[in-house]
Amino acid sequence: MRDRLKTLAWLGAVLVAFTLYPWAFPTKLNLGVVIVLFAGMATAWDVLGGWAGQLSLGHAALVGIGGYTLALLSLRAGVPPWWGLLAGMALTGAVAAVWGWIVFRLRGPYFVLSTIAVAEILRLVAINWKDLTGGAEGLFLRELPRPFGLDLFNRTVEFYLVLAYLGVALLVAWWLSWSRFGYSLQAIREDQDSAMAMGINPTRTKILAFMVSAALTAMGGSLYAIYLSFFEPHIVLDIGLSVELALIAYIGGAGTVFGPTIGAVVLLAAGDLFRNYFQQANLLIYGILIILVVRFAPEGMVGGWHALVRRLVRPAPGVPVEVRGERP
Amino acid sequence: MIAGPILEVERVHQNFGGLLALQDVSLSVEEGEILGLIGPNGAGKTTLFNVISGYLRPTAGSVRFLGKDVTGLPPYRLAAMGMGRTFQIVRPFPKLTVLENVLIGAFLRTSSRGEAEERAWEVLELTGLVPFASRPAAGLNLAGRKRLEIARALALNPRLLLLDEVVAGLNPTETDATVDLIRRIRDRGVTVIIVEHVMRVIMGLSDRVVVLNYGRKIAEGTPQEVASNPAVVAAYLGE
Amino acid sequence: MTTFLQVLMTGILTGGVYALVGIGLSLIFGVMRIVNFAHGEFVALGMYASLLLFQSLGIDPYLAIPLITVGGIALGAVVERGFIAPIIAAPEHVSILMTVGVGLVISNLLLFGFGAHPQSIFTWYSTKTVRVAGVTFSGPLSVSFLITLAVILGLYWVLTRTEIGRAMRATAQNRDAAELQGINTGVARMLAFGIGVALAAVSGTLLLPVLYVIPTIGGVFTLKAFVVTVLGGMGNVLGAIGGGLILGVTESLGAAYISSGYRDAFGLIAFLAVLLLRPAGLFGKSRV
Repeated sequence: MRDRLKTLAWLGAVLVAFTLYPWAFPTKLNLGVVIVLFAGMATAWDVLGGWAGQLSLGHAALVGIGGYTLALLSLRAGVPPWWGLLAGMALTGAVAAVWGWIVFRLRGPYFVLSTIAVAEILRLVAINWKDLTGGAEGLFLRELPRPFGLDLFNRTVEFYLVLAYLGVALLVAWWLSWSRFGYSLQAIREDQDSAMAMGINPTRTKILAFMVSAALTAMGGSLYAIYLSFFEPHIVLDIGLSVELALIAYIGGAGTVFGPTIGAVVLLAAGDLFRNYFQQANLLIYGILIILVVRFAPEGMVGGWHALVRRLVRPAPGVPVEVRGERP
Repeated sequence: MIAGPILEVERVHQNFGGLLALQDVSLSVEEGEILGLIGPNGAGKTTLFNVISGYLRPTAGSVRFLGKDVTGLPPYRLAAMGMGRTFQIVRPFPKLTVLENVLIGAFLRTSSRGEAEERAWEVLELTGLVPFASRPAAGLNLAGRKRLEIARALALNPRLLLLDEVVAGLNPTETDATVDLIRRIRDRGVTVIIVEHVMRVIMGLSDRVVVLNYGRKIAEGTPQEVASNPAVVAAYLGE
Repeated sequence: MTTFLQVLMTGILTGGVYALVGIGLSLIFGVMRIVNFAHGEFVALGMYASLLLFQSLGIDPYLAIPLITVGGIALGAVVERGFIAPIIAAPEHVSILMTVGVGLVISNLLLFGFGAHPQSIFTWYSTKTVRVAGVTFSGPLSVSFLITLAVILGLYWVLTRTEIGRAMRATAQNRDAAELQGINTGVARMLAFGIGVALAAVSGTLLLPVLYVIPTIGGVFTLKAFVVTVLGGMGNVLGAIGGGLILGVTESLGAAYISSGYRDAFGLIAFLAVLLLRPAGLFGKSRV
């Protein structure tokens, strides 16, 4: 119980710290929105990738569906963005159920490949089905309604919107850290056959995890559409985006509450820093970092931090290790 | 208590693309007994466990658990019905702590975190794992991990427990502790089927023993009967 | 009828090169159980290396092939020793992430070195065609196809008639058993990766006369390679030939008769279908 609340307290602290960002860095608001948004989407990816251990490299499809649903409903049917967002979440949840039912019989690399294939097919559909999606030229979200008089295209407003989104994502991750569902995901990740002996139905659980991950990702996708206001399949449905989300989560620490957020902050801030020297610096950095992390710190930055802390706090050998989480 | 045997294996065949791992194996287990399953290496003991616990669908024959036909049902359905098992090569969830490992089993019976934790601590006490509760499972020694295997299965509140070589590789003190644990488990009303190579353990624990050789059942009876059965002796000598 | 033959032939010729792209991936997976997500990047490397040789030294791509092959094997061996071998015991997703990382580094170094604009070469045979029975064959594509056949035959010879080839096949079957037989599986794996990379690079060289090259083209080829290997069976080196041909023909027919915009989708759909219905591939069990 103590651990649970401690994490929740940290969650609150992180969110509060972020609220100060627009005041601290008023000229870097674009970067701020992107960092927080990607932190949320990486956390969403992590539900399936880190907690359940199913490496998806097709999540851009979900971002895209979220974005396109909001945009198309807004442009073609005048539906306000908050309903568009919810519709996007519902749609991706349904897509994930079907998609998961199809691919979760596959194990290992076959599953990863299938996520790439499905996402690519969706991207091609978006490019070719011009009547529906505007094709390769993309969509332009010209104007949006103003809830409570707020201009949704104002970067500060957008920042607090994506911050709320990050809050939701972090709460989901926090819930996974102590709930029955979260543990069933971890069991499947650690050892699927063993999990079955514990009464866990792997396919059903993976599909549920995918649905949660998808809906949460789509939520971010909708906000991404608002932020971009002009987007095309190349930006929101590209495999590069899928890889980026996976790497952010993994480098920060997959399967942890704060790992993806840390990954987003470090990677996107670093990318911005180096952008002056080399335009695509961020991708090169991702590549180098993932190699280093995979090779030397597979638990990501969060794990590396814990290992460091453990080594500093370890008592002398021979002394029994203190039991955390004592019997109430 | 149920009427009839808690587990019935009827004429099970298991054919692996030409390799007949099990041939016409039948046995029945009464509730509350400890049944020993022995046989030389390769006799098909673990294969039989895999068929009973749902990891393998038999090529022919059937399995009845609690009076219901469960042939071909997946392991998670059987776990829900009350069948627990350990694996010969222990496979705890390595990155999770001992407590969390057992917690996952407890979560089968309740969705409340509080209740599941209660049950998990109970099981940890029963199996003597309380001092290791916060240790990651991968950090335990072999005896600890084997004990954890049993604890996880116990957390499911099983009516039937399949133990696959839970004392292999343990020293005599650890072995005796495990034997004692198994007795206590049976005293709580759990039926146990135990596969083991360590003869003194199996003969000492079991109410009845079934002997497999080359996938067939060659003997069945009390430990004394089986030990003096010439076919059994021959099977072991010939291995 | 001629149009159909035309479309078919183009598909077969392209399929041949796809086979070469995929066969290296299949070899790597067969021997090492690693899915090389950077495979397409090595194709791109081959293209850019040939481009460089052509532009600075005037060496024709076809003549550069031996050089590219040697360079590919060397590079592959270095990458394998440096990045793959240390994590060979780790779970699958680790090698996936590692090769993704390697791929990102390669493609971005190419971007840094060569710039983002599309480049191509123009040789005396770039637009030459051959007409047989009313069907027009692209010159370069035909030559590439023939060279691909030669390379694949060469690979087959190496795998079946040489000591190192047998070592690789033994390692693919059962690493532990191979070790017990005294085979140095570490060397076998290193060379398998080297040859796989070389095959990818050479396919890039063969494609240079017919395609534009940009640094990000690698991703496309990685996906094509996956389709080829899944269709043919992961680890099934000969099956990759069938896989390549099927992919080439499927795309060609689909683009011509159904929709050219969805050209790439046809291969992906076949890919998914095989993954779901016959994961071992269309040509039987996995073997090197």
